[in-house]
Amino acid sequence: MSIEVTAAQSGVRAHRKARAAAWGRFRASVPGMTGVVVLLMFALMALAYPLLMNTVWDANVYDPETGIDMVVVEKRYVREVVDPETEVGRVEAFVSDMYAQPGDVVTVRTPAGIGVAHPLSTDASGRDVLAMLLAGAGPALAMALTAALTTAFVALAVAAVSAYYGGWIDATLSSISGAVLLLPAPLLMIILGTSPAGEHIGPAQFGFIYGLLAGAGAAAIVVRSQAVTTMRRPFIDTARSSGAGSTRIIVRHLVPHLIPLAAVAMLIGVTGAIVADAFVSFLAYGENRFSWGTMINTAIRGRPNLRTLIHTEWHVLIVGGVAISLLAASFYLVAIGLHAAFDTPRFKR
Amino acid sequence: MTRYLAGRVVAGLVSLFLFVTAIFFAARWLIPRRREPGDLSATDEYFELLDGLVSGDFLNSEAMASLPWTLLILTFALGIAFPLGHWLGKVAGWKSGSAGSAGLTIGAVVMYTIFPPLLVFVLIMVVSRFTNDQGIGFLRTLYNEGGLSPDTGWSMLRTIAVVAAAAGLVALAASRLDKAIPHPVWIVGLVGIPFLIWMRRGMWGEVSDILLYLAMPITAVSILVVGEVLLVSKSTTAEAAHEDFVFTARAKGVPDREVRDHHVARYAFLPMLSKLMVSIPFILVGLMIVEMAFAWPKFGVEGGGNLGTLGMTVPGMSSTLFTSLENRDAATVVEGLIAVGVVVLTFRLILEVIQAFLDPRIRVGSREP
Repeated sequence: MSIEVTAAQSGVRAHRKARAAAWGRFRASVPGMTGVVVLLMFALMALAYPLLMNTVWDANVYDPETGIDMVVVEKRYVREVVDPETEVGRVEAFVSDMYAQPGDVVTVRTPAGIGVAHPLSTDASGRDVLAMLLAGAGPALAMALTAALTTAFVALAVAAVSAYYGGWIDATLSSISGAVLLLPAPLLMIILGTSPAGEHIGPAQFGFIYGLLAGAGAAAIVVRSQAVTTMRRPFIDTARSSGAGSTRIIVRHLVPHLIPLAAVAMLIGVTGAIVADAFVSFLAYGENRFSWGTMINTAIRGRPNLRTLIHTEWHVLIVGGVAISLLAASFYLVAIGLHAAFDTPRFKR
Repeated sequence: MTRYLAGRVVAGLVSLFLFVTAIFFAARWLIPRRREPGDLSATDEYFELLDGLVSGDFLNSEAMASLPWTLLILTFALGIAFPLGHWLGKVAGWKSGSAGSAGLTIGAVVMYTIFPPLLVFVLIMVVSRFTNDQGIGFLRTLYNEGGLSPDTGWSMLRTIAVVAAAAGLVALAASRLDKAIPHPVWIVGLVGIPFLIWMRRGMWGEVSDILLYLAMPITAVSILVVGEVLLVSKSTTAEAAHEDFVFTARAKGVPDREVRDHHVARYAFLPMLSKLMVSIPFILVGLMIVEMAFAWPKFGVEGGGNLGTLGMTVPGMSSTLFTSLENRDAATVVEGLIAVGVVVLTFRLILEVIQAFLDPRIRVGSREP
């Protein structure tokens, strides 16, 4: 009896030690920690938005879709606008004064622009860009986290069942994975998001459906091959001969060995979810909700040529685009860190 | 070997069948339309689709007409990005931990995770510096003058396929004879021979128009793919650098560079290939997003119906797919998605053949399933 207890205790101790070592290696990995810091920053942004809206920010000014902050300034009406800071063209001049002649000074309403109230400036219709950035963080994070967890869960379940039972169950699940892999999950999500049904899909549902597809496809294939190798290892036979049932072996012995790989696969898969989600709103199909993709859309929409875009809203496009890319990058960086923590050549041998 | 490949083909066909079935019924459910008296029932339509696939009528569909442009972009982008990413990854993985390696890794993560429309915007901005802020609208004159015919596109793809297959046979023969062909010879041969063929067949005008027109999408996709290949190649090289045979080679006094290129890089090539096999579909999505971003969909002059001077139309798969999606044309959407599936399956099989030739464990059939 006492021998058994000490064996179990030393097993637990070894597990704890291995976990502490893995955490140490993760902390030593610069990409991994950078990813964590960036993710925390996005989480802070998501939390800050409702706080600011309820306390300091006036909804009439700071709402990312309907808020407006315009100032009245005097500008000179000229035929050819050379300096948009002090001169206006025909269209804007006529809004203020129908009888204005070239050379007249007219009063026009222009966006408030960069300042203490708007650290990231405003867009062409006077909406605050920082408010847009913060408003997009919540939905994007909710989508990414749902997608990540669903991907990992589905991939683990499919891979473990496939590897444990083998035979026709494995063959069936493998062909399903192969079929799912023929249709890339991000593409299907783009099609789903742009279809009539897409209007009713919120961020969390989007992440969930993406997770089902990505988990059953690419992630399941990667995790399954690891599960098959794990099933050949002696401790599975030991567990079986000491009378453990199928559920116990899968949950207690097989799955723990797959979690690191599933985590890496899921974090890499989330990158695709973020791009797909942003692209749907970039195409302006999910117009009922605000996101970073919407920022890029509003920046480009209706610009007849590049010059007007550069002079008006390029910063909205850059802020939205960089936020999307940075969120995707942070998940990928965390995946590199996890890879370094669990999959070092020194510990594999 | 033959048995292994036959098994892979059968597994691929089973996956394709499941895929077609799922796509067909999902599309009917997702894209509802008004029923008309002459319409076929769902099952009849399904069997007609399968019939078209088996008999080859599918090759005449609308989706197939837009396929050559997507395939050309994909082939050229992979052809540029794969060797480049592999080489950079090898360098970064070998000196893992140095500042240069860290810089390459950061650059690769940026290239891999950048939002494709943002990348397209940046590229257009760069080109616009040379066109007086007028975007890349000038490229559209090539398109409007009818320089892009799908037949030329297919013919280019056939040439590339034949040259690539010949190169594979040469590589096989060289390895059997234990002769190494230097890298520069490979590069000159693989790039030069197709161009020579096109020139001799008098296609040069059309080919150069097509390449000029597709140069921007090809650059964008190459940037996305280089990042991914670099990251995978770096991690496999860094792992292989700890293997015993590397220490042995060093102990024997093999020069550092030779250990990297002949011992480590070759060993790291196989895991890289199998990792990239899973990411082919995602590369294809990135490509389709790039295609759409270049057209700046829905952002033209309001009511004018043209795209303004900002972008250009890439007449690839995504334009067929999304036009039919906007028109609620479920049949064409299904055809387009099947075309995507067939492309993914074909690339996967090609990679599996390469893998089987390179990996003796597969050749003798003792590889883990």
